[in-house]
Amino acid sequence: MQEGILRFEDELYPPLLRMIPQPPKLLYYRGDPALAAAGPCVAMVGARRATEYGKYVAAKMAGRFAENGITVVSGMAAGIDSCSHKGALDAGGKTIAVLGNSLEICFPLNAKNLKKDIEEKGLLLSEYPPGTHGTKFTFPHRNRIISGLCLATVVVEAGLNSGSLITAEIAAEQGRDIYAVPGNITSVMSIGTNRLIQDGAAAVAVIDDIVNDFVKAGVCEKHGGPSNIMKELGKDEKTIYDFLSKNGEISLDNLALALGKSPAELAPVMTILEMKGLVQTALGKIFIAN
Amino acid sequence: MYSKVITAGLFGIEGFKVMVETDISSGLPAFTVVGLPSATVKEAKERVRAAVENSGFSFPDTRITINLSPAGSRKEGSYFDLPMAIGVMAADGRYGFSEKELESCGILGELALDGRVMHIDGALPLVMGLAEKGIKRIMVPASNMGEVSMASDVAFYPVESLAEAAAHFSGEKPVEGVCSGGMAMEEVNSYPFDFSEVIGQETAKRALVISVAGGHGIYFHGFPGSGKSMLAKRIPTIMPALSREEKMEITMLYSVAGKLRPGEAAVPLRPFRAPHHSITRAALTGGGNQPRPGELSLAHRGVLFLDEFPEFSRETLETLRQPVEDGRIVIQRADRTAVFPCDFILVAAGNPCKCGYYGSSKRKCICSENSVRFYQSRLSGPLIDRIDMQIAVGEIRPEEILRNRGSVLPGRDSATMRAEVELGRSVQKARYGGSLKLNGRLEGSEIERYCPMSREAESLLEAAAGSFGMSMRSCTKVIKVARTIADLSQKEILDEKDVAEALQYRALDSMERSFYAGRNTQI
Repeated sequence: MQEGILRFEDELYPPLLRMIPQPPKLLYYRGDPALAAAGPCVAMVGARRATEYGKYVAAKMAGRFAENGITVVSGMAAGIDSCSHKGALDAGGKTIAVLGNSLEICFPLNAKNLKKDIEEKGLLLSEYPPGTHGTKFTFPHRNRIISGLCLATVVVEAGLNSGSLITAEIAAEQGRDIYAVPGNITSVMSIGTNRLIQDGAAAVAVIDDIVNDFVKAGVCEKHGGPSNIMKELGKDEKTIYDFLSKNGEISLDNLALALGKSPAELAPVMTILEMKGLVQTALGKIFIAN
Repeated sequence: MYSKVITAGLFGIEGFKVMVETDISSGLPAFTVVGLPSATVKEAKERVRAAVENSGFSFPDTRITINLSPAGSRKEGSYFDLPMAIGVMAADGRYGFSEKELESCGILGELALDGRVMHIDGALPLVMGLAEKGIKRIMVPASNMGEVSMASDVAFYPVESLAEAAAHFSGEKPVEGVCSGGMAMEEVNSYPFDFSEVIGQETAKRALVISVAGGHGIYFHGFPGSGKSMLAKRIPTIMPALSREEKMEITMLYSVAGKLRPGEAAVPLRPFRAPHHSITRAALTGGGNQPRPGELSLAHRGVLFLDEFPEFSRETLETLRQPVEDGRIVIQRADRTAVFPCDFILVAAGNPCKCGYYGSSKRKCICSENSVRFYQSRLSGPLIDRIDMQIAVGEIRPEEILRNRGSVLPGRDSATMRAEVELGRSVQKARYGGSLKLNGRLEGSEIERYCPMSREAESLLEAAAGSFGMSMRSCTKVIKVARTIADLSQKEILDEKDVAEALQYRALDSMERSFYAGRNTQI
């Protein structure tokens, strides 16, 4: 692990960041300093108290970015931020965390392991000198760095007054692309993102949308993708999988009702689909995993 | 002059024979009770004196000594009043009580100052204790007749007043004996509610059939208002009807605990107890100088429901562990040990966080990240490890239910579910040789012996253990639950379907494993 300072005039200072209003003069770093200037970056932000859906999408999307050589940039907060970092690392990809405090401080405390992982496999950045604790102002202020490092910013999940909406606003001022993950319109945790779409942000319709846009723009090449797993499914599994793909998130009870099957018949199939990694269950709800 | 009257004392739910010896000798007027009487028994002196005089008799103005033998064991309770009064009157000699009758007839009853005989607690175990010692004729308060008539081969003499009792022993107007056993126990088995009223929770209902059939503890994980309590409350309606022995056990416990109302007969329905989370350990297990059953025993043969499970103190939950495992509570006192049975189905329920809405899509959770973590950390520990099944109770959308009102098929009702439970239980009964053992109580080598699995089932479990990161303990739980699922469809060998379904009932385990789900995330 390397540790040091990136100055505005240094060669490794990320070029995209140079273009924003009020770029940081100094950036303290831990990890691989070349990362920020190297590959295409995308910022992933969202609510700290996210729903299972949000966390799932964050992890999955980050994984797809990682597989396609796109660096995931976020703020290491709980919820969406952490899941994004973790999803990228799990897929063997690169990730950058921009902190609102100095580098030796771990906030939130329980992100200790994640922080260590990012230091080793990715990059930690902060504009604050050692000994600076995070305050009400430092966190929103560093958001300009998160969006500034990236070609695009994705808001995965946000309530009405979420801080991630500020990031989206800043990204817009910096002239970067903004994507929002649409959610159920009855979910309070998706009001913010749905509003963003209403206000002109690009909606993410399928997980790979952003990757595809990057490929079209010529910033990266596409690798991998959902495998042809459908052939390996049994008849019941296929029925359920197809239904879920069409209808999205549903409770086990409603699924049983819709398919005219008893919960006892459905439960074993759900286990198999879960084991194959095709569906996820959380608090009584089932949703498709890609 | 001297007299001897038979009565009974109580320790825990065991009655023992007590002789009331009365001696009246000349001397200054005095009334002494010896033989380790408790405060209630000492106070009996005043009730006895007043009752005797207010019934139109005269109380001897001399030195009276009453000994309760065996003198070494404590006597507590108000049921010594009547035997003491009869003893004093017999020793007085003026009323011509038949010695033969006194020698063969046990007496129990509390006295009011006007001479009425009052309802007593613990009548059934007292009567059983006497019957065991060969006393087959017992005088009891008339209001206790309902419960005591469960004891077989005993003749009862119900009395309502001291005067009636005196007339019986003097031969003036013998009380007519009522033979027990002949009294048919009415088959009451109607609960005021039914599972058909629970709409949109068929998955939870299926889990409950398995839980009750196999005696598996169950945990409901879900948001406020998703129907956890509603489901739990209806569990007794799908349990098999109480057998005579079970009714007897429950009635004994309720009788000692003073939970039977005057005139009430046996406890007719399976108990459902839902202690609040602020309950003390003693109230849960039972206790006291003269041990009385606590909530755990009052749930015997029924359901113990711990709502807001994470709110219970660790200490309280720790207390639950041993009784849940053994099916009985042992209360040790310096001189004796009382044993109360407590074989129940443990049902626990909890929210995902303190405010209840963590992860909800309907309302915003107002808890801090740390408070959520702390709350969920409560969901691990020795007791939850002993709960075989954990299910998530999904968020109900009232607007959907209201919109479909009338058109929705009624949910499965209690009778259908009970029929399945009974089938599952009969399969287990055949396998475990008629005892009341259920799959939930299998342990160690028994699991190997009674839960043969098909090759496919074995490899499925292996694969699942790998991909879900299951511990050996949770694998064991899955096997036990799969055993019950197979029993419900009368299969001897567990196949992959049974195992796959059992794997669904691990909501908390899967919460633990899912890396993006709050706790243990290491993020």
